[in-house]
Amino acid sequence: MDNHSLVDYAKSLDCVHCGLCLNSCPTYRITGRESSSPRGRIHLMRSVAEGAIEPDDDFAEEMDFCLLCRNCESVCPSGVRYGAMMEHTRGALEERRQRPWTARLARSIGFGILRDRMALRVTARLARLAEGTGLARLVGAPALPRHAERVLLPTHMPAEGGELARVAMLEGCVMPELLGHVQRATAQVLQRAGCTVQISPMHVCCGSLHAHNGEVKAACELARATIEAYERLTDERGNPLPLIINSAGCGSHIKEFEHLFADDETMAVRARALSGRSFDLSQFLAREPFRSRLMQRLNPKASHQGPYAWDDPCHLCHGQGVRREPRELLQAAVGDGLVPLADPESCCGSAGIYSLLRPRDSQAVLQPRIEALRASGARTLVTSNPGCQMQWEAGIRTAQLDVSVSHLAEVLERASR
Amino acid sequence: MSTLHTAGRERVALLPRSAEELSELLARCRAEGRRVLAIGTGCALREDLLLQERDQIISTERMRGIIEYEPAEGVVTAWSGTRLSELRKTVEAGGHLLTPALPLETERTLGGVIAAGASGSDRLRHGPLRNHVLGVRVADGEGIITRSGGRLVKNVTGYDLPRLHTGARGSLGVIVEASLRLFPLPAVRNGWWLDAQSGAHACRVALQVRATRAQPLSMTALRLDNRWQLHVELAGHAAVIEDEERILRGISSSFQANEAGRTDLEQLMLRLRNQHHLSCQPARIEELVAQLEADPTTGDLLVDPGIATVRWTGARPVPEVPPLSGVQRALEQRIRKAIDPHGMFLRG
Amino acid sequence: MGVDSTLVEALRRELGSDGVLDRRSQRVPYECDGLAFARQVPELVLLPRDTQQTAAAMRLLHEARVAIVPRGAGTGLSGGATPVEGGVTIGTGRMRSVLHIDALNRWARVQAGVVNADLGHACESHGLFYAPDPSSQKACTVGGNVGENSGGPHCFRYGNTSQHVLGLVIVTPQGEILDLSEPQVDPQGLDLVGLFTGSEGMLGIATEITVRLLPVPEVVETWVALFRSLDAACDATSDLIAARAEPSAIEILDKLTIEAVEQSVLRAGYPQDAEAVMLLELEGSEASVQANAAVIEPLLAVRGAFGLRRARASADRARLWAGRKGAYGAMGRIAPDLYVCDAVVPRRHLRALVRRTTEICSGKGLRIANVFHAGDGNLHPNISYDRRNPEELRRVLEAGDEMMRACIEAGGSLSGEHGIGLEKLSAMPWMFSSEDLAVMCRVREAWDPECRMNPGKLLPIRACMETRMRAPGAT
Repeated sequence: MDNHSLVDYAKSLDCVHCGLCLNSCPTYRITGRESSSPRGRIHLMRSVAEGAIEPDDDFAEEMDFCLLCRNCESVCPSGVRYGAMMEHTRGALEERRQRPWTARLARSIGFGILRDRMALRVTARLARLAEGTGLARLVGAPALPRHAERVLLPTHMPAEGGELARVAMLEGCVMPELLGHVQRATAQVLQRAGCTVQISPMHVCCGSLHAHNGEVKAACELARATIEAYERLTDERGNPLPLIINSAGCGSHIKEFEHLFADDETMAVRARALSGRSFDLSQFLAREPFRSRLMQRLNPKASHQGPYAWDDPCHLCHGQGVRREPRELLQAAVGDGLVPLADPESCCGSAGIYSLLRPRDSQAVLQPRIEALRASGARTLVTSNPGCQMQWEAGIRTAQLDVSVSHLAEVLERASR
Repeated sequence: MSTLHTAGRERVALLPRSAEELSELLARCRAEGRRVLAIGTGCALREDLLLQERDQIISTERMRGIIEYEPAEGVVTAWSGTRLSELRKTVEAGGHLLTPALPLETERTLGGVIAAGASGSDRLRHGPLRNHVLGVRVADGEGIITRSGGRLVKNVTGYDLPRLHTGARGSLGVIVEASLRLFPLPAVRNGWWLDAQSGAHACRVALQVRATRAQPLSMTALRLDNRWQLHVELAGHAAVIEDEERILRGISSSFQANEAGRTDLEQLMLRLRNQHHLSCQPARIEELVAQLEADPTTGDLLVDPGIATVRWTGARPVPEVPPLSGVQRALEQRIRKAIDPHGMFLRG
Repeated sequence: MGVDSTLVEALRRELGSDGVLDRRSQRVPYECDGLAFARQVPELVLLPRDTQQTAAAMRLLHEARVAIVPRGAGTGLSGGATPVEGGVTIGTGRMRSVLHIDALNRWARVQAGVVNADLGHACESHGLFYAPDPSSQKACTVGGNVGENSGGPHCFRYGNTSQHVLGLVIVTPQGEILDLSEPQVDPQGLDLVGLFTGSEGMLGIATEITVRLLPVPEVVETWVALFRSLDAACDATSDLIAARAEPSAIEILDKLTIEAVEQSVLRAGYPQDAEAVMLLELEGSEASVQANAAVIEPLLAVRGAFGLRRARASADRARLWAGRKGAYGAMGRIAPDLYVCDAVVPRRHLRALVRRTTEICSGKGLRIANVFHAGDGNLHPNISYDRRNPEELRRVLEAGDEMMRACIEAGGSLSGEHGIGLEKLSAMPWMFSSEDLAVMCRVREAWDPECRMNPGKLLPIRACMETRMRAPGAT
């Protein structure tokens, strides 16, 4: 078998083995094991490609253990594209992996549901019903909101106080089911910042979870569908609208769609175009003239659940390099109610569906973050990724802290009423 | 040859003039089965040293002279018998400060100071002597001379044997030459002092100074004729000194400039250099000094509050130091045997 | 004897299953440290959690006569942590606790696996800092720093690690615990702590370290000055030393390094039109920073420095330093591998030797970048190469040797901070006579008569063999 194809060998050569990534890696920090560090994993990949080791179960286990938080990329002076390498290897491993049929079925159902709005809605309803039986708590599923919360956004929401621009907003797959209030807050904040918000009725999932978990084929299909869906949302001159994303994981993935089309130049060009007009909510709101419009409406006194702490979602700070904007907006919204949180750029352990696949590891990664939160004295933790939001909520419940978790959009919405 | 008084008896010391002569003497001692006491001028020998009839004293005091001093480098290398006073004169002419600052520099040799591990009052700013010994050449019991370290300010090649010889009191061989790291000669240097109500008070003031941005060269509290004084030595650029003077006066208005006090200090340091001496942690120094000064049998007292070291005369003994652990003792013995397999060298 | 299943079982009982790594995919990543071309997969990797576990493991290994290689974060550049055949690697990756900070007396006690930068963060709130700052400080461990007597830019003022180690807990090769952790003004007995520091893991494993902390200076100012030639920057450094100016760090980066840094995530805003960048740091009271600045600025001007920038805000300073600290990794953009040499030269000969190293490399068709601790005369010629090309690797090693020889001929030394390890083993006799080396061998054998600790490093095997032949009682 060709083990070389398991690895993006050319990218692995960028690593000079300096080790500066070690301390940034959550799995290295909890295990102290070189093989569970970015440098160690790259070393393993290279060893597989060079035939020094077999891509056995131990190898696959180290690849699965990675959270793909990409903190290592932020500190790598050699510019190693670790995330892309890991997605490549996971994809190649998945293709040849012999999973038991039950696991294959579970995966195909799980990843399949995400792609289909009806399936998502039905699943949510069933899950809500199951909650009554206590079954859901038993399997550690997230708590679902009431049905009334789980409504989809209208496809057209007009700007308040005069339209400055029209934008598209990513509604997403699980967000409407689990965090509908965040979606509504996001749309409202955009409206108050002078944007008319449009939702694509045909789009469901961008495929980021698929790509992170080795489902490369599905990820490509979903990326293609996403590109097509948002090419159709245009302004009156026919130019596609900027796409506003409030989920860091999706944003980071959409901005890197191009990598999925290495063999298809036409699609790569269209992917680049979408990446070029995709913005994290905070990134967009920090731009003029929207910023000024929103600032006029922000009233720090309206925030009553302080002190607040900001947690950088990995796929926002490491994946998209967005750090300054959310802090500035939050500062404007809560004034001096913002307190520092130790190690804000390290992973909370949510990592897409990692927390479901590897609950024990996920908890171990979360633990030091919970302690940092406790030490910060914050009463509201603000983040901007659905996975992180739910992970923190679960951890805070277990640790019995008196802290609530909000999406940045919710805080901005409350402060701009 | 010269004579030396030790343990109440007059002894003859051999005085080689070169490394070659030293090697020959050592080889001869080895052949004759004599143990060797290596000394500089013998001014800092320990009191409890017991010499046997056949033991041979070898002094390096005639192996003198600067081997290399390049003002553009900041390092001086000299034969071990070179007096500190001569070293200081040479390097000051090149704009450098020699550390350690010790009393009686005309009597102290480079090798002797290193063997004694003697740090000076300027340790407060510049650190202990062992940080500054960059390299040594040492003669072993067969007269073979080996080198470790070098003449460079930064160098990690090989084991750090200069640190092993520093403070080993000649027990691991005879230091032949050594290289010291130098510091910039301060443009301005002046002394300040105040009358303190007690030793504890003097320490308190000193620790207050330590907590500011001021970086005195030394701070010394002393009791002379039942009066306590705190001496603070400032050194550096004129503007820095001015700033630090302001800081001192801000801490206590009774600080005053002083030149004469320095002489008293030297005298007292001389009187106390072989007396009881004890170190602790800075946070405990006030308490320790309070205990000592309350003891009516205590005579003179000299305190370095920043380093947390006290010297005194009087009946109050130095508290017993816990003995070395068995592991440490055994290891030390093995190291001594490795470097001095015939057990030739006495601890001076 | 050696590593067998009985030993592995016994080690598991002491360290738990997470503390004993025997599966191949877990061992392979330990096959090298920052000196990536030297490789050997260890038989076993142990990750003890504390002194007791380390001692228990070392006792078992002592009984089984197994060689031991200590390892911190594996960021060393001299192969100090390269495993030995049939040997066991003991890593400190799970000894990451800051045990105690005594702010009043200004010291801290940490486990050996604490990352250098994490120690810095831990004492920040007390207004204190830990001075040694190797460029890898965000990853390297204090234990590793002790093993190599590591340096860093600020060692120009503060000295290498050894000047900051007040005490150690050492597990001896026999598995005994030597507790020298109490900070003392002067050592009681021989200075074993001083001897152990920089002994490159050959005398035992330090599990706990007591370090000296210093008060954070009132003002810290970072300067960036540009030069039209590398020669001019070197001359300016020699001038600063000769004038006894007192910055706390003097660093030089050449053009190739600047380009690499500016293309990396560490963009420091170094202008790319300069042939050399000098980074200086001034620290102390406002008055002393001003006074030093008045001495330094004209000296730089004489050598044609331009574009001088000064930064005091910590974010700006951090950015200027980030480029310097990540320079080694940033060079990864130039070629797959990088050989970082480390040599010291007398500071008055800086220009001549920097030139010489460049000539040696270009003569062999190699690309060299210079980024170094100029103030200490500590050169770091970086050679880019691809280890898959054995012929190129050979030229790299030859160039390394020639550069070393040139430095030693000028009165320099083989290493200023990386240590000798495997990398410079064969060069030791250029600097030391066989008698000099014999003393070191005997000291090593006093600790470790079987030479099981990190064998084959620092001391050329021949020197040790000769020592034994000469040893008293040898026939």
